[in-house]
Amino acid sequence: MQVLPVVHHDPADEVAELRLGDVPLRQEVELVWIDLPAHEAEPLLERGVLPGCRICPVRSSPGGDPIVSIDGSLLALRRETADCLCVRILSQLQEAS
Amino acid sequence: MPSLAVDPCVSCAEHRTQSLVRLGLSPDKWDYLIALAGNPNVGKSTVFNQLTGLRQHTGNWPGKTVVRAEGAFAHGGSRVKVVDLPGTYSLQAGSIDEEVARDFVLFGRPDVTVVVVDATRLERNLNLVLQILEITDRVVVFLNLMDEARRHGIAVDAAKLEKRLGVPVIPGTAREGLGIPELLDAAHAVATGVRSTRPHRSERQAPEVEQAVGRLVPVIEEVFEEVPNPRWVALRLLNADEAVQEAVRSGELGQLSRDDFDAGRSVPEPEERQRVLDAATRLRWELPPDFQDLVTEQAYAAAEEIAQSAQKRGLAKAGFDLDRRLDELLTSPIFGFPLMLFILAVVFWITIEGANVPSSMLATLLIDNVHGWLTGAAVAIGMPWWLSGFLLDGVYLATAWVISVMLPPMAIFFPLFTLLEDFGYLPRVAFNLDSLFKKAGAHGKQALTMSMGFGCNAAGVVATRIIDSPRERLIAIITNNFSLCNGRWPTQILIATIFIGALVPPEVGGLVAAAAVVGIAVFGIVMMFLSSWLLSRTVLRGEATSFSLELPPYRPPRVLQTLYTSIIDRTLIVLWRAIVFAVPAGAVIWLSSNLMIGDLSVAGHAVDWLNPLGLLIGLNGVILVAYIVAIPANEIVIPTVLMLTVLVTPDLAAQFGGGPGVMFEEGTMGTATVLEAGGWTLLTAVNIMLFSLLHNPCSTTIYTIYKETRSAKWTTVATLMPVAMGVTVCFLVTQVWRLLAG
Repeated sequence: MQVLPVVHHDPADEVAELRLGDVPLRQEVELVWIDLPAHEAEPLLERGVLPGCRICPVRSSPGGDPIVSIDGSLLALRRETADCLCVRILSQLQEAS
Repeated sequence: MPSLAVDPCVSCAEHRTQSLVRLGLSPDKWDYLIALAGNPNVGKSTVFNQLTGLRQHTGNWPGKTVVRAEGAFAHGGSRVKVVDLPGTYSLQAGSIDEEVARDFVLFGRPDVTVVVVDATRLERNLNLVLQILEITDRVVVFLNLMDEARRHGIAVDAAKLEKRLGVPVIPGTAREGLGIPELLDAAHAVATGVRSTRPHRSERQAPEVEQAVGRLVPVIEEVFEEVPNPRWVALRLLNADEAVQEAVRSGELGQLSRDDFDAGRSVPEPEERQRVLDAATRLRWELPPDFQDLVTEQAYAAAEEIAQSAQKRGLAKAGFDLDRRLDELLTSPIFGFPLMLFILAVVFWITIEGANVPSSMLATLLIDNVHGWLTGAAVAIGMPWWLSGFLLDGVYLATAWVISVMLPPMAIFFPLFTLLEDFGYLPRVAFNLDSLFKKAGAHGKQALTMSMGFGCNAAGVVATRIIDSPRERLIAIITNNFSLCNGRWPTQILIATIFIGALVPPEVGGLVAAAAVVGIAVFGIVMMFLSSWLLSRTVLRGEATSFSLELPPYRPPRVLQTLYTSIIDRTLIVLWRAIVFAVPAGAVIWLSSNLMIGDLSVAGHAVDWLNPLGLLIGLNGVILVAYIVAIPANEIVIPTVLMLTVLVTPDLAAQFGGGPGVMFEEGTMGTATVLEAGGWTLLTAVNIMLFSLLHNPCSTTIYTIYKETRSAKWTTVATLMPVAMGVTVCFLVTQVWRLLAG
């Protein structure tokens, strides 16, 4: 029997690659971690942007900033902020469609 | 606090609704005090209006209420005072409006705090509810927007939520008055202590945190014996919350619990109070560095868990797709900007076309007929010429002019603008413009304060409280004046109609004039970006901080109520202000036109003296004097210009037979005749439109800027910068124009 190597992963390391800013429109993702200092992350948390929540970029503004759908409401973010949100893709099926 | 007799009949809902007497503004005495708290844009102001009968304007965008509004009503034999707090996502105050809300819940000693909750966003809203429950047990939750929740396919179980939270939860739809009687009953019962509550409180934190809390609580209890929730105080102190630290330092914390307010309890000794702070500081060192994250996480987890248990999502949806379609269009990268300009242009076009007829009717009535009749009456009773001149030709005519020129456009423009606001369009405008504000180094919410400035700059300056970064707030304050305000729209519309609309055939005159006004408004926005950019590159250097803005769902505007409130709130208030300033201005102009120094009147001297400068920048002495007279209120610029033009143009005075300092008006065409006789050209018109945009704020706004910044330096900058820009722009336009015209 082949023994699979045990890979230890730190979720933060793994997902640091994918940021909300890189996610294509209508691709639902899960927020893993907010890469911002506490005082800047707090307003996001208060608006429902919490690790574990589902976010879906639905549109981008005339200036290229994303509007995301989260918990049924729409939130306009600046691109710089979106680039600080580490996310993970929820289902490959959605990506294919 | 006076005791309240509880009559069984009074506690019946039927009786309550009937006995709800709206008292409007705050009385001096009240039996109990209700604070309205909640997230931004959940309908607190609507609940407030329902309770008090006041017409506090409710806009469909976050940050509408930045200061607290107070009102009162009588209910079940008690006088109840209501305080509407600014919307806040949490009690960890970031911006000034959040601080106002937090401090009131903490130190305002409300008898009951009604937390208005958006039923469509339960999870996020519960976060604030839980924080408030940590502080006080006298809470009623009003589950608002139940109609919207249904449309979004969300069902909320109010009874279950009530059980979990341990305080009354009343579902309703404030816009339609649903649930308001039940809310009153619950608030009454909780405020008077008839109904006791068992608020949900966080029981367990991470072990390290529990340990620190466990050691701090006894110290707090020892010093402040009657603090209702020492656990909460301990957590806040460990978190180095400045407001709570200050409350401990000043001893105010000891009076947090409402009942000992009047009892004259002794405040603990300063050394004792310092002991609490020292203990907190010592314990804070022993906590892990991510302690704050642990506490935050715990709070959000609790909110999420309670929300999940009380709601069902994904039921049949309706109406939501329409929102998306609209948003795709209104915030589209291609159509977003053109649509914005188009909507603005349509609003002005309706205003210009619609205001013409009533304006000239009012002018005929008030100026031709009533003035003639009054003059006749003055002669008949033998009034001396100087008195009738002062009263009728000065004071009365100035007032009549302001009414006939300003009332019709305002009565059309404000309701239209308010409808857009209620519909939820303004946050979309903010969103569209944000990338530009970002490039200018400014805060995204500046677009909202800018929109507010389109109504009134003083209000726009106060609205900057929603911006939490002091640097970006200052930029928003200084540049708010570039939003054309109420006082300046009529000038723009009138001059554009007379001089620019007249350049083209009459059928399209209104459209061209509307386009010109939009052009000026857009130029103002460009200047706002430019000056924001300059400020953030020079004296207010810094990068734009991150921000996020919630786009509220579109809400069908209630047309009739909007018409009513915008006419009462905006139109009449602005008109009244204009009249209040027009009366003395009319008197001053008449006096200065009739007081002679040598062979020229005082006003004549001033006009002659400023004329060279005026001509250099494509204006004239009359216009500059008018802008000085009109510092208290921009609304009276045009009336002043007309009076002074007649004064310095002897032919005109003879032609109209009014004598010096007399104002007259025969509809817009009469105004055109006077201005053309006064030497006005298209260039003068263009320049006065530019100068009306770019000049000092009115005195009310200047005072507001000083109040908000507490800085003479920044007030001066905000006052003089636009004037310097206006003079420069007008000078350049004039020189280029003259060069091209040969």
